[in-house]
Amino acid sequence: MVVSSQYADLPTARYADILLPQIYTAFEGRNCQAIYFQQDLFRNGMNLANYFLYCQKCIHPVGEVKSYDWLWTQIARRLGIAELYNPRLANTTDDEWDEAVEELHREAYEYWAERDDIKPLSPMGWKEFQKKPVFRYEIKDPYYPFKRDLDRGANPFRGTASGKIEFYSEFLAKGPEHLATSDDPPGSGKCYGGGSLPPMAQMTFGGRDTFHSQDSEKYPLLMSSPHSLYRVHSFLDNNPWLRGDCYRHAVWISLADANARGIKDNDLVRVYNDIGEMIIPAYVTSRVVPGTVFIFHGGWYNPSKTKSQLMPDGIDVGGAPNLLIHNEDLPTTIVGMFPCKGLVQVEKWDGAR
Amino acid sequence: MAQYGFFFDQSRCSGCQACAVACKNWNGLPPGPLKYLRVYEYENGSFPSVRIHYQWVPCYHCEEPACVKSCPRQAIYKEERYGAVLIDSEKCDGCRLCYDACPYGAPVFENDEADSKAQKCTMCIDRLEEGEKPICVLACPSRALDFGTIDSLFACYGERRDLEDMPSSLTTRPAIVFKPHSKKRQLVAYDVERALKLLQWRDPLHQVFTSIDDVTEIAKGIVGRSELVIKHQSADELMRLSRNDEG
Repeated sequence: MVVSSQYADLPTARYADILLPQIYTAFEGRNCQAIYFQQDLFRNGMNLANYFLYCQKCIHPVGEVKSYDWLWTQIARRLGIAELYNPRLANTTDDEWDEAVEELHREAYEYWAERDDIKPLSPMGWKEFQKKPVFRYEIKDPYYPFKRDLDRGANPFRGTASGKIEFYSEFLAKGPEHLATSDDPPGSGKCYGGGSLPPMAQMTFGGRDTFHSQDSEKYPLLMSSPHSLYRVHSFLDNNPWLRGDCYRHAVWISLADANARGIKDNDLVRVYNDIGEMIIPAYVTSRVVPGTVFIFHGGWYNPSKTKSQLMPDGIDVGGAPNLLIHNEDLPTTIVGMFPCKGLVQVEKWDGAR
Repeated sequence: MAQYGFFFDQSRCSGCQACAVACKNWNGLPPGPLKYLRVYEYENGSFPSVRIHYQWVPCYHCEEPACVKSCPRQAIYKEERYGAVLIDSEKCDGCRLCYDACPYGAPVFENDEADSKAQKCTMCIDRLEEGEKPICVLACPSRALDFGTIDSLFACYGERRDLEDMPSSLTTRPAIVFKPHSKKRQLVAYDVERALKLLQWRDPLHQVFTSIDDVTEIAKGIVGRSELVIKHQSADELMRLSRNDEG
């Protein structure tokens, strides 16, 4: 069974058996996953920024949309662990929810304002703060990474085995099985980024995302998926003032590779390999190195009516490069990395999109 | 009559389209060809000596606007306080003679239908009345735009109204000051032909392209936006040429 919590009709939502619609913006309420600490509200106070903002709920979300904090608490209730998961809101009714969330923020704010390092900055009271919820303080000494640790003589890398920055981690190198059975489980602080949950794909060697792979015989173009100016990952892909208006979501292909395939700019092309296929326009340009193509990261999977053996739900016409990227080559020593390249072939597509 | 105008620093523009989005937002325009201002991206040269240029095209609110003279119904006029060129949509019947007359393609239309009326950049005259600058100028994250009386812009940025690849300013005298992009320089000296030869073979068995001409000889119509075109045959063409591929 697939349970998914989404803010829009994202491709993942279409595969969900149970869909939990969640809020989209801070204006609809607070997703207060950090409610017991001050991360959400106060994370920036003394760290990298010299200000933080607080946003009150201004509108009721439409339909059945809820904050995910509400959703998780409801699930915890049904599992009988609400008191453990969210002790302060475990028995809060829906009518009282917004007020209770607000109250927790007030409490957190006042606790923070009393802190030894904050008090000298004389932050305003909660009521006053609510009128213009911006806290800002002057930075007198230049800030640099790890300053807080260094100021109090602490080693910022005390969490690693060597006590230093580890470009290669012996701990992670022990492999996913070790992570799953270790005394230091994901979330323990010694295992940044969490571990892997079984079942997981077997590590293979000789990555399938380089020209050196045998796959390059069939799929000779190296696709890279750079970040776009117009999306934050997949966020805003459905914004018609950007997509289509400011930019065309296309595959960048070099003049040489386009010529060899009889492709000219704005032709529809089929981009495919052994795990996925899509039909999108081609952007023929001299800006890309021959032998490589780009499809910008974060396009949403949009199944067309044309189905194939490879894509029984429909060939992608939205342009989601992740569908063409193998993920079994992730090195075990880097956790939290996501792959962004793969080998593909491109051919001219004469049919409809 | 006062004459206000814009300044565009081509060397600062990165083609991000923030100005175009801000313009649509301020004027409440739907997605599509109603673009009071357009940002064009075009490509010069061939790999690896390639360069991208950007051109910012709102209405330049010419001192001698060709569109005003062309309109048979006197629907376009030059406003007195700021020198803005404005359209009285009551009078416009969508004949598009103004579009034909304007060297910059400033009047825009919702679609290709014959009854589609001309609309255009208003110089944000509603904002000017409130003492604010046009929204595009404020939206620019690289500060490539400025706005003021044409004389103050001349004093500040020089009197250049012409730019490579753009129509001549002689007849219409657009209220714009340009700063052109700098000349392309090879920052690290290398032999282009040798670099291409090295790229030609991925390894002794895999040839990436047959001859260097495949990379350097650009036939017309193959590469996207290989030249600056700011006047269009259709709404589709306007959309295709006034968007980029950075997403």
